This record gives sequence, C-alpha cells and structure tokens, in this order.
Amino acid sequence: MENRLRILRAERGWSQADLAGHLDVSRQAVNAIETGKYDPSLPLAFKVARLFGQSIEQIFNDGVES
Amino acid sequence: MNSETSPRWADRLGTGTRTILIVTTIIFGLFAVGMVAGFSYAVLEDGKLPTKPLVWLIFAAMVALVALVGWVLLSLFRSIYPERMSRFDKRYWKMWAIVIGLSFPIGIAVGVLGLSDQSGGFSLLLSNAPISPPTAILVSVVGSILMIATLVIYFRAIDDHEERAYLWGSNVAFHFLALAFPFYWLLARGGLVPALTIGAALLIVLLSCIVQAIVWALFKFR
Repeated sequence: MENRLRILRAERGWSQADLAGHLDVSRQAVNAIETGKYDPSLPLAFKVARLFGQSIEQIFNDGVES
Repeated sequence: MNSETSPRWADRLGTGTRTILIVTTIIFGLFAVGMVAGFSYAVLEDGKLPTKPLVWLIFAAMVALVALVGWVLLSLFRSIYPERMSRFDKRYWKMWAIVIGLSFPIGIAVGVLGLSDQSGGFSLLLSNAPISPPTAILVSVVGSILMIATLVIYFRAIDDHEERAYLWGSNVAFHFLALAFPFYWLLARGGLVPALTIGAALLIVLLSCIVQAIVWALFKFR
C-alpha cells in the first residue's frame, strides 16, 4: 500500500524517531510503513490520520479506484 | 520529544574524565566477567557447589561489580548521547530489562538447583539424567509461569509492527515443528536417521525457537 507518510513527516521537519514518538510506536514501525513493507493496523492508521489532520484515504492509497 | 530534564552525575564530567572512566570501567568489567566465568567453569569441573562462604562472597561481589559496570556505562552512554528516549522506547527497554532481570536470576537458580538435586548433575536442563520429583515439578511450574508472565509483559510493551513480527515468527515456527516431527519419524522408519529420542525432540524444539527468532528479526528489522 502506498502512503504519503514520508512527505508529511518531511513537511514538519520530523525524523522517523520523532514521528515514532508522536505515534507511540518504534522507529522500525515508521520505517516499515514508509517503505511499504508493513500496512498499519486500523487503530494506528486512525492515529496517523489524526496526527496529520487528514483522512486515512488522503494518507494511504490501496491503489483501488473508487 | 520529551521535556524531561534530569542532569545525571555523568553529565557533569568532562570529556577526559569520561574517557578515563569508560576505559577503567571496561577493564573492571572484563575482570569481573572473567571471575564469574571462572567460578562457573570451576563449579562445572568440580561438579558440586563450593562450601566456603568466602567463595560465595567473592562471587556475589563480582556479580555486583558486573551490574555496577553496566550501570556506569549506561549512565555515560546517556550523557554522551543525551537524546531523550520516547515514551514507547522507555516502555520497550524497561520491558527487556524486566524480562532479562527475571530470567537471569531464575536461570542461575535452576543451575544451582541442578547441583543440589539428587542427580548431582549441574546441567539440569542439558542432560537426560533423572531428577527428583519436587525438582521436576518446581522447574516445570516456575518455567511455565515465567514464560506466561514474560509473554504478557512483552505483548503489553510492543507495538503493532512487532506484534506482527512475533506472530509471523510463531506461525512459521509452528509449521516447522509440524513438519519436522512427522518427517523425522518417516526418515527414522526408513532407517535414514536414528529413532527419535527425547534429546533429538528437544533439539527440534530448540531449532523451532531459532526459526521463530530469525523470522521475528526479519519482520522487525528488514
């Protein structure tokens, strides 16, 4: 699944460790989400969306046209 | 991330003092680890526990010295790299400290128990020698409780990502076990390997633990 996490993080000047701190997860988790190796759980996706003030669909893209 | 201010004793040291302290601490640490290893080896060789209190006093002092060295090095490391840990990291590393802190003394206790048991063998869990019923029950119950307790502590501290790594590791390890035992059985019936002994079975279980750890690490760190 593609996502805009790296871009959103960069816009705020945060490191992966900073974002991990905001989301209360490990830095490896942030890295795995950014590189598309891990799709976050729904609660974590909501946390990400809430943190950046956007909807889940605006951040994560499953490649399916609606 | 964290506004916590906690000037530690190590923060007040200059670079030169820190360097001297690090080198000295490492030398003392190596000495203490060597003493503990020497003591353990001597006990293994001798096959029974020492009776002189002085020996135990020295052993306890060396274990305490190893702990002190660890604490000093950790404090120095934190003063050199002052970046504060996130809430998650604190919880995570505290979990590992608790799990290792629980396992280490219990491991030593199991070793000592093996020495005092009727079998007289040091390697309680590394041999197939008979042991007394109370020891068998005690080690089984304590081992089970420890395993469940550490798993609960672990799962409360990790995030979704690591939980997935652990569950995948467990899944692959289970299938490894589910395949390894019937295959071994078939190979034994074919006369290609010796009949399955309890030692070989435990070796397969150990291999499955290694498989679990490898898959866990792949999912966590790839």
